[in-house]
Amino acid sequence: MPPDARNHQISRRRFLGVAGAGLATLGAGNVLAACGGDSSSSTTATTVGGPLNVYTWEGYDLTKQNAAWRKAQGIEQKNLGFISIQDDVVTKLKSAAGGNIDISSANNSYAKLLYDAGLTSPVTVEEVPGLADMFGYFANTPLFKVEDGTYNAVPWTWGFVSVTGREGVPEIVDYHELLDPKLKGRVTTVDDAYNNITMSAIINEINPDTMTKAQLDGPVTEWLVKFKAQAKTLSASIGDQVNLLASGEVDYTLIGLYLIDVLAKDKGAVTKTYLPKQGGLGFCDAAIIPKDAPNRANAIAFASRLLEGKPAAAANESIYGATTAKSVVPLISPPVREMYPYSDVDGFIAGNLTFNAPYARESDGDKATYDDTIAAWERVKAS
Amino acid sequence: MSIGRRLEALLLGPVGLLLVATIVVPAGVLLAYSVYRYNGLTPESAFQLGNYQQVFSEGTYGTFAVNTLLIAVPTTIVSVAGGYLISYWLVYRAGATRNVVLALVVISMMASYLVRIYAWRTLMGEQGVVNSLLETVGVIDEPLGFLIFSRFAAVVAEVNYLLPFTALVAYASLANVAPELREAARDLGAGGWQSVRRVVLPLTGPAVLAASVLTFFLSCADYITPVLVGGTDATTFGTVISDQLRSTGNLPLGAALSFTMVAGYCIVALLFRGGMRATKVLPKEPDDAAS
Amino acid sequence: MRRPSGLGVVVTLLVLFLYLPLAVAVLFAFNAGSNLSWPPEGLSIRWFSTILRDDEFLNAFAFSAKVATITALMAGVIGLAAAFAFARRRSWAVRLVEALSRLPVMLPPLFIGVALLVAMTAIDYVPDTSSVIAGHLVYVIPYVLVVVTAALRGIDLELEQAARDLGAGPLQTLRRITLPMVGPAVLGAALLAFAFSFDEVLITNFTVGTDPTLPLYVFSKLRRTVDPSINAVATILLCVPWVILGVAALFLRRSVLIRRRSSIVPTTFEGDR
Repeated sequence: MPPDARNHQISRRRFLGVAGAGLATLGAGNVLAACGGDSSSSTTATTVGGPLNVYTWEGYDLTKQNAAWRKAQGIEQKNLGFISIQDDVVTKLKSAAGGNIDISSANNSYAKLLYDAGLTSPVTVEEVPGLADMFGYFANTPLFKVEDGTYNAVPWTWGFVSVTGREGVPEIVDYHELLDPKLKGRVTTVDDAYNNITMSAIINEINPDTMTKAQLDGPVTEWLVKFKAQAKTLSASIGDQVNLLASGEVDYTLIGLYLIDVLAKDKGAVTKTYLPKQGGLGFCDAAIIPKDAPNRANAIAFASRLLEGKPAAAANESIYGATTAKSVVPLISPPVREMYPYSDVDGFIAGNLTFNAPYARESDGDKATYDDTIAAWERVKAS
Repeated sequence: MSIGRRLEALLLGPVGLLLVATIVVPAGVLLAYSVYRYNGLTPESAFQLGNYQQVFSEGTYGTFAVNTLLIAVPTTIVSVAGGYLISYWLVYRAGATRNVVLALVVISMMASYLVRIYAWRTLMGEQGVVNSLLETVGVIDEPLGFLIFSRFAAVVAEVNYLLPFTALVAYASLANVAPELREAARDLGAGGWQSVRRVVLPLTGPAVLAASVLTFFLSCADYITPVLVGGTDATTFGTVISDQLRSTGNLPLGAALSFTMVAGYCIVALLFRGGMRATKVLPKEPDDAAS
Repeated sequence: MRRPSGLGVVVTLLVLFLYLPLAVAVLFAFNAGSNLSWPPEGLSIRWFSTILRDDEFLNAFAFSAKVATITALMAGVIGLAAAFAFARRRSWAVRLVEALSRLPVMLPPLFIGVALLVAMTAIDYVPDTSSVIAGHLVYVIPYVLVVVTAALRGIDLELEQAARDLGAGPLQTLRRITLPMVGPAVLGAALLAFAFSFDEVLITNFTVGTDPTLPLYVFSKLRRTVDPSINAVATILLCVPWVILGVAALFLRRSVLIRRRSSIVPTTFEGDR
C-alpha cells in the first residue's frame, strides 16, 4: 500500500527556498508549464536529442556545465523554473503541468513516496550505469532501491545537517551543551517542523523511524521547548542564519550545514559545521523521472551525467556536497573532497548520520505521524 | 450625462467581474476548503468542522492570536497617534512646507519593505547603531537586548511602515473639515486641547476609526516582519497561516485559520467602533458631528 | 513664518523616524564590506555594479515594471468606468459593487493571496503573469475608485449641462469637458496604482508564476544571502517613487485647480485665506 505520507525531509535547497515558484533562469527561455507544452519534435524513448524539460533546484540544472555536451548530443534543455520547496514537485507532478516534465528532483524520502504513488518511473542500472558505482549505503537503502538493479530515482548528492558555530566559539561535543544557560539568547534554528523534530529525536537517541507519539510529545518536544527558550530567534532561511552568525548575534545554529560555511565565507565571516557525538541528519537528493516524461531518453542521459564526470563534480563542489558515485570523488577539488570521509562512506553514515523515512500519514498504533510532528512543532513555537 | 441600465452594466462590469473573480469566488473556494478533510497530500471533499475545531481547541493557536494582538495593538495605538499628529500639523501648521512634508511621508511608504526590516537589524542589533551610540556616550554598559528579536522590535518596525498610512488617512479627513473647524474654534474662543477633544476629534472620528482599523488589520496581517525581527515569542497568526499553506500544504486547516482571522477582524472592528463611540471620539450619529 | 511649535518638533522627529531605516539601508548600499553589520567597512559602489550586471535583477525589474504598468493602465480604465457609475447613479448594482470594492482593503493581503492561490489550484490554473496582475489589480482598485469617484463627484454637472445646451452630444461632452477635468485625478490614481503594484510582495508571494517581481527577487535573494546588494536594489528603487510622485503631484494639483475654477460655488482648500 503506497504510503502517501507527506514528508518534510529537507535538503539544503529547502533553506535556499526561493520564494514563489522560482526565478527565471539565465537565458534558458521562458517558462511554459501549462498544458500545451512544447510542440517541437519530441523523441522516442530510445533516441537522444531534442528537448529536455527540467524542473529542479537551482544549481542542479547544470545548464552551464553541460553546455558542450548538450550541443554535441543535440539536446535543448529548458528549465521550467526552479523548485522552491520539495512539496512543489509533488504538486507539479500531480497537476496538468506534470506531463511536461522530463526530469526533476526528490530527496531520500520523497523519492520513495513519489514512486509508490505511481508518479515516477523506475531507473535501471542498464540505463544509468553510474548506479552500480554508488557507495554501499546508497546502492542498498530501500529509500531508493526497488529491487536489485532497479532504483526509484538517481541519487547523486548528499550531505548532512548538524550544528554550525561561528568563529571564535568553542566547538560543542554534545548537542545538550546548547541548553547551557550561558548560551541563552546565543543560539538559533530554522522555523521548520521536520528538521527540528527529527534532530531532537536524534539528539535524544530516539530513532525517528520508530518514534512513538509518547516519545514525540515527551522528550523530543521537551528538548525543543528548552532549546527555544535559549534561542534568540527562529530563522526564516539559510541566508538569515548566515546573517545572524556573521553579525555575531548568535553563536550556534542547531540546523546548520556546510552550505552555511560557504555563504559565510563570501561575507568575510568564518563558520564551522561539524558533528557532535549524536551525529547529524543526513539528506540525499536524487533525480527523478516522471512516469509520462515525453523525452525519457534525454532525461536518462542527463541523469547518467550526475554520477560521472566533471560536471557532476563541479555541481557538488559548488554546494560543498558529497557525491554518491565513487568515480566522481577524485574529480572533486581537494578542499571539498576532504570534507567527506570518502574512504569509508558506509561506516561514516552508519556511525553518524540518520537518513530517515517519511513520517506516517495514517496513525499506525502509537507511532508518531506527520501531523503529530507538525502539531508538536507548533506547540514548541507557542511555548 | 445620464446613465441607462445597459451603460451602467458596461461601466460596472469590469470592476464587478474583477472583484467577483478575485475576491468573492476565491473566498468562496477557501471557505469550501475550510470544511474539507486533509489526507496528507490533497484536500478531500467533505463537510466537517474538524479544522475549525482544531483551530479553537489547540491552545497553540490561542497563543499565536495573543502574540498577534500583543504586537498589533501597540502598533495601532502608536501609529494612529503619530499619524494624527503629523496630519494635524500638516493641515494647520505646515504652511508652505506642507507639500514637501507630505511628499516625504508618502515616499517613505514606498521604500522597499524587506530591505527596511534588515536595516532594523543593523540599527538595533547588539553591535548595531543604537547600542554602539549609547555605549560610546556612556549611557549603558551592556548592549540592550530587547531592541531586536523582540515584540518591541516588531512594533517599532511595523509602526515605521504604517505611520504614513495613518497620516494620509487622517490628513484626507482633517483637510476636509478644516474650514468649519476654524470657525468653530474661533467662535468658541478656545484653542488647544479642549477644542481638539471636543471639536476636532469627533469631526474626524470616522477617519480615526478608519485609520485605526486599517492599521490594525495591516499589522495583524504582516507575516514577514515578526518572523524577521520579532524573536521567538512573536509567532503570529499570519505566520501560522502562511506555514500551513506554503510549507505544509494543509489547505483545509490554512483556510479555516484564514477565516477565523477574518472573523476576528470583524469583531475587532466592531469593538473599535463601540469603543470610539463610548469615548465620544466617534459621534453616535452622523448628525452629532454637525451640531 | 510661524514660530516653531512643540508639535512641529514632534512631527520632525516622527519624519526622521520614518527615514531612519532608509538612511541606514542607503548607507549600507555603499558598504565596501559584504555584510550589514555596523559599522560599515568603507565606501564602495561595487554592489550597484553587481546588481546592474545581474540578469535576474534586470529581468525582475523589467517584469515588475511591466506588471505595474499593465496594472496601472487597467486600474485606470476600469476604475474610471466604474467611477462614472458610482458618481452618477445610485442603483442597487452600484451600491453592491461599491461595497464589494471596499473588501480588498479590509481583507489581509495574506488572505487575498492565499484565496487566489487556492482558487487557482482548484481549477488547475497555473500561476503566471496574469495571476500576478490580477492580484495587484484587486489590491489597488479600491484606492483608484475612491480617488476617481471623488474627482468625478467634484465636477460640476452644470458645466456638462451647459455643453449639452450648446449642442454637444454626449460623447463630445465626455471627450471635451468631463474627461479633461477628471483626467489628472485618473492619472494620479494610476500612478499611485503603479507605485503600489511595484512594491507589492504579500500577495504576489502567492500568485507569482515563474518570473519573479522585483520585491520577490529581493525576498528570494535574502533567503540565500543577506548582503548589501539588496540595499543597492532598495536605493535604486527609492528613486522611482520620486519620479512618479512628482508627476502625480503635478497632475493632482492641476486637477484641484481646475475644480476650483470650474466650481460655481467657490471652495477653499484647507483654509488657505
